[in-house]
Amino acid sequence: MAELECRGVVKSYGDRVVLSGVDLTVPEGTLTAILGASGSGKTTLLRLLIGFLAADAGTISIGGRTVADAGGVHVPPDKRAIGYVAQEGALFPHLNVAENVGFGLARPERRGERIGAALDLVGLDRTYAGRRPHELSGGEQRRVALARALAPRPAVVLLDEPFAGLDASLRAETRAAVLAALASADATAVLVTHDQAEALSTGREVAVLREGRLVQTAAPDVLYRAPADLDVARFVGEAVVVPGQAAAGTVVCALGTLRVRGAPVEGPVQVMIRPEQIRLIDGEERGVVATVLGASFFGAETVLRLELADGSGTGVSARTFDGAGARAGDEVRLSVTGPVTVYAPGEARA
Amino acid sequence: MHTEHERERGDRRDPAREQAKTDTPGRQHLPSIGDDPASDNARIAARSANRDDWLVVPSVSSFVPVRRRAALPRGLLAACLLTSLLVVIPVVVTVVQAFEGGWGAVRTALAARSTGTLVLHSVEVAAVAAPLCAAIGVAAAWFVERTRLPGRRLWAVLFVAPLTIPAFVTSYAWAGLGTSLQGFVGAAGIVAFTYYPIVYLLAAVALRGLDPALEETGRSLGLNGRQVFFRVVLPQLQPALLGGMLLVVLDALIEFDAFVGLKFQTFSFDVYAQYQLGFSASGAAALSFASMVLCVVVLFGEAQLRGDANYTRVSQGARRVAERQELGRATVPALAVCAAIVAISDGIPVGMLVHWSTQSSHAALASAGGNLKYLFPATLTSLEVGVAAAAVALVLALPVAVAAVRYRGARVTVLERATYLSFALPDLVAAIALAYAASHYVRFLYGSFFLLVFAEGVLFLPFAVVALRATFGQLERSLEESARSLGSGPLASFWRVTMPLARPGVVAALVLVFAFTLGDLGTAQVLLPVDLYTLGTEFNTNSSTVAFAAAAPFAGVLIALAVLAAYVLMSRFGSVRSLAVR
Repeated sequence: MAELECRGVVKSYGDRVVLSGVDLTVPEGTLTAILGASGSGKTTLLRLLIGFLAADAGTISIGGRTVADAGGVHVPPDKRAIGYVAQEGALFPHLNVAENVGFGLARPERRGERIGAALDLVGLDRTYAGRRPHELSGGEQRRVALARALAPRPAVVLLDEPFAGLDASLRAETRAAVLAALASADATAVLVTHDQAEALSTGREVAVLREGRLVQTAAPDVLYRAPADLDVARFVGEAVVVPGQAAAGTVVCALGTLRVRGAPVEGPVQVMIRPEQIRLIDGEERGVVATVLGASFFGAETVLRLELADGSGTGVSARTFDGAGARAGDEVRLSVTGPVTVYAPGEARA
Repeated sequence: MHTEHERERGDRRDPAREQAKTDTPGRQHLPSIGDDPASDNARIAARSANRDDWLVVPSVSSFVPVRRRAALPRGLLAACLLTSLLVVIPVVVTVVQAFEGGWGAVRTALAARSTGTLVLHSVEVAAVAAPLCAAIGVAAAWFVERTRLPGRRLWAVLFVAPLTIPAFVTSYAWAGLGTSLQGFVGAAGIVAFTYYPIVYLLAAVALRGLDPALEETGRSLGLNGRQVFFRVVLPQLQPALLGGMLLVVLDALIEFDAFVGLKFQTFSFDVYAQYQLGFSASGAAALSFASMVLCVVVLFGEAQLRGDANYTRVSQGARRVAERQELGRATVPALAVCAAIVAISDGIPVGMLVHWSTQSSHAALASAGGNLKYLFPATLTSLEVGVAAAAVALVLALPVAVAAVRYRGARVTVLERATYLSFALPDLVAAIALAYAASHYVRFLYGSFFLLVFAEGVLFLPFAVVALRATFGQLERSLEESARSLGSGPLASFWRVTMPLARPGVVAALVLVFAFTLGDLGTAQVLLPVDLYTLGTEFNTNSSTVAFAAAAPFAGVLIALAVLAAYVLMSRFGSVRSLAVR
């Protein structure tokens, strides 16, 4: 399968600019998750890729073939060799599973092995072939939708919030099945979502879309640990931000002297720490003293809301595995593990 | 509040909230298709919006995100243009005809004192009948769709039947009740009780599509059942009401068949008289200017009423079926109301038919016997014309309905509205215009079966468009899009996905046009090939000579077909093929 590439894609409705120059490259055989909040333009981008919409400027190529450019090239969706998994699956209600999966196949192929193979790919038993969409669970419907998209061997598969509306356990199971199917089909895929956990856990790369622009495209761990700015940091996860003074690869802040990730910087900075980097420690002398304001218990982990006892009133939160016993008013000692990311002061928009 | 709200959305700090949103059924398409910063409001507003295709929601239009729609494909545009052109032919021909007699004739016709009176008559009838239709139609739809009224399916058929019973049959039946109805009251009454089913059908679709959660929310906010109806349900029926009343008003302005027995002097009646008396064609055509102006004024006025609201359609999602209301002690009064509606609208024509058939004047019976041999050929011709006209209307209406549902925009609105111009002329005038055009420009069509079929198809085109839109509006766009992404072209996707799912709506459109054609008199009288006769023309011939017993068998067949059509309409109008229950 082939790769997908966008260069300088612009789209506006009237005077409202929805996408202002999107560059995206999805390498062959990988899945890129596009993560964006409501209104970020992610669905518009997806619809441009599929061909339901025409871009105002920029080029889109699929498998090395230009399918849209400003010069008037606009290959219609049915000629783009893309697979599309709509939200909720959008199975054809008047067709059974096999007819749905075979929809995009040429007539002779519909009687062949391909339909069964596509069902195998998504981990559905072949006995499902005769069932009607309304007889399937939500998760099964998504799998059939993916099988249908994969059956004609598309160059690129586009998934629009494929797990939305599924409950937590079904979501995990369906996600695993979908990822396995995409991997074994060696598919190049783009998944659009507003759910950061979903994006981080599915994509080889995650592209963050904000106000019509891709602000960062990176591997999930890079994105999470070294976000391009504080907004992205807050968007992809919870962040504790405190002021600090950087020098020679370290930063001094209310939480101690911490190692700085990446190139050394000097002077006043904002320090971004992930709550799970903050640990409770035993022992009398070490660490930073803080008072517990409240605790939220999530089972495996407990999130503590804390206020540093240095009189600054700085609030932080800590995601801990051992804080279940903490009560409001308790005094605890904290330390920060691992390097932190720093930003120039005043950079964050929020 | 606002900033906090925005920040939270930007930060995505609250996974639980996000999850909750994600899991709300029915929201799937909106937020992401909408993708609008005003999204939360828009989402709620749009969700609460009525899902039927009329869906125009003036009150929330400012929130509703701009819908991204692909440009209207050229082929579809061409098809819509063709339909509009065909609809406009009679109008253009009539204008040309009117001016053939020169300005003088036009001025004379328009300045005649009677013209103003006649136009006023038509306007008054429309003004009284339309609200009546709305009230009756909504009440009937509410009883059938939302209550546990006993015998709902039977009531549904009976509520639809007045529309399919030929108006001229109803008209003679009302006239038979006595002279007291031969005036404004009779005219307004007959229009109201013949055309309320239009509102009924549209309101029933809207009620079926309503999210019960909205009513429940209304109740939880302290509103009682009646308040919920007026403050939650009725506002959402507004598009259906406006759409239905528009059709009623347009129809009432040019109605002829319904007044044929009552001899009520409306403007199309006068036009008819002019032609009968052989006055100058141009003078009569000039008279039609009044109806053209009225038609355009009404179309424009209705558009203003709707405002420039965005048409919004919300994905269906998993919606619960609404709980039906227990009527309890109100059951008997409710049944009485329904029975009264049915007694007036169905009872009068059917009762009069029975009365006619049992009249035992020997002369009448003799001629009735003699006439029976015409019954079969007349039925056959009527069926042929009806089926062919329905097919013509369907073919012409399909592109317009698809464009109206899938590619909304100013251009499409104009094209769709253009189909309503078949209401611009009394059907008689339109028929004469077509005959005139055929005799001058396409001689081989003149007096042909095809010309009649074409005229009937075009005349009832707006009803076909309405029926198709009501169904297409229910279909999720993502189904067609999935088909496109799987390599099917636009036509193939339409054929393989849209049509199979929309089959009930297509059937409803066909049946609607079929029934109207069967019940049409004016057009048939002008364009029917000389050697043919239909149930309608035979009925009219006989009833004109007051040989009602002779006319009865023709009316009987017409009413039987009408009830059959009503049954089909009741069960299929505005619905999508049901697959959940097999």
